[in-house]
Amino acid sequence: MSPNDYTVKRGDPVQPFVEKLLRDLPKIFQPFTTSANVRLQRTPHGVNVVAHDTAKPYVPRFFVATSNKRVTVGAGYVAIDQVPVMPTIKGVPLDGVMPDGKTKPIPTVGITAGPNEDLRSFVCLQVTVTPDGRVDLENQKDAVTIVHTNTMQPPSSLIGWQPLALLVWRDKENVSRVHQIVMHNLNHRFRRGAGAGGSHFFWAV
Amino acid sequence: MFIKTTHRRWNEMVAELFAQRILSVTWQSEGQWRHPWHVLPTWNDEQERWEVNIKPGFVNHLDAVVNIESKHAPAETKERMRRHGIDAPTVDAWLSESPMMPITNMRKIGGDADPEATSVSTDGNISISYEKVPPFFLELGVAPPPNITLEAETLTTQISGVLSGRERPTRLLRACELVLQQDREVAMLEPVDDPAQFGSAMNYEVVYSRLPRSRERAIVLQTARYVPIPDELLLMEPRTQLHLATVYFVSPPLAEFESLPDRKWTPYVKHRVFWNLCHRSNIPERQGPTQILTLPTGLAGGVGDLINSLLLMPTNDSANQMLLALRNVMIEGRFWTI
Repeated sequence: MSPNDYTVKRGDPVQPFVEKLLRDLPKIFQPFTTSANVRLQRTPHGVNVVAHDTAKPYVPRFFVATSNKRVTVGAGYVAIDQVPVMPTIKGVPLDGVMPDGKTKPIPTVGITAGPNEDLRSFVCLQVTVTPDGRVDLENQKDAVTIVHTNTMQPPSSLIGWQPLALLVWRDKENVSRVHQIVMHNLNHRFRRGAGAGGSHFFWAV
Repeated sequence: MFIKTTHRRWNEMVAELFAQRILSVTWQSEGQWRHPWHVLPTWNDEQERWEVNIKPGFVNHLDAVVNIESKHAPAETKERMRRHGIDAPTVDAWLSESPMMPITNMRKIGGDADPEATSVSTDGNISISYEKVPPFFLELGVAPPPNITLEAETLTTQISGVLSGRERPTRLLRACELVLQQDREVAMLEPVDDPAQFGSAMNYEVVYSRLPRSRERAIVLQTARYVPIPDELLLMEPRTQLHLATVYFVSPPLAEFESLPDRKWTPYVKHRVFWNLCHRSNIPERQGPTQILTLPTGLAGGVGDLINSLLLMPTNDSANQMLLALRNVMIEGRFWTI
């Protein structure tokens, strides 16, 4: 049905087209299609168009967001010896909730180190083990923490880095966009090598 | 109801009425989450070809690459090439640079597919088999492949399932496979120069390193048909592969056989990998040179030791080779989800 079906030529009577239009009105005003997440509620008084906001964006674990030369990292856990541990930044857990239940401001990490020559840098989960290969949560502050780096060479083999997100920089000063790498809670194991070092393994829970 | 009006006024009313009509209701969800390795096919009007954009997926800490023509590389890739002094007709564009990969390798499925295999039954009949059309595409009206049998007794060919003319539901199907490939270390022999040991023609050490020109980053390749690396070759291949996705193209009805996808075709993607990955090879710890057999006797002022070493030389060389083979057995690469 189009306007042409009801257009009257000069000299022709209008009345037949009025009657045709009245007959066709219910069909004309029926929406033809709807997309997913949209449904029509038909009532004697009219039709309601209902849109369901179900397509909420997925928010991964350890969600990294940048703001003003700092990054925040959303909550996430690392299983250390099968015990879930939330990383801390300067002693404050990622969600800001201290072990005694008190809350502190959400901790942030500075990204002043800037990008590498390819304008890339990483926000990493850092796990530090003792020389005997243990994660000493009691005696070592921030044994499981978050760092920003523009290289993927940890300073020591006792330190394991798992990149959580890639920061793509517009220039040496400004971050253009963030690509999330880790989306799940993680497991960590340290496998000792022949010498003093070893390998850190991370995998999704 | 009787309305007294002019045709002009009536036509204006009709035009206004139709302009107010709701034709459709569409819910567009901005920012809908795309998982890593999500493939988005788009038609390139300028190049007149289908291309795919892949949401950056990471292997270890590096986003994978696609190899594309330099002239069609994104601005960020061109800038990186300029910075590193790269001047080549093709370039590895990082997925985080948002490159578009043209789809060039496709296979035909359905009505105009090429035969996949032939088989001979016990009574001598020869059957030609084709790749099955996935049920989803049969529902969309893609023509199934024909059934062709060559009967041995009568030497006749039976063809069924091929419809022609107006009854032909000729929607055609094409498919392209996207494969993630990560180069990895392989075991190699490295001669050890040790003048103190002469009980072997040459003493070797097993070292594990990447082949020259291997990539640090994983690459997304396209192929018309994905054939996994056979198990018996898996340990010798210097690369690990993972089937990433299949991109299908469905033609409009009544498309001509053998035609290639154009803007009128509809793309569909079957994803197989949804998360970022880690990859590692199980490289054994450094083994050191193979230990050779010696028989020190000190006879005849050391001349006896030299003779013993020469006698032991074939044994030591064989031992070298055997040890190498044994150490090679367990080298393989693995992906896992991060």
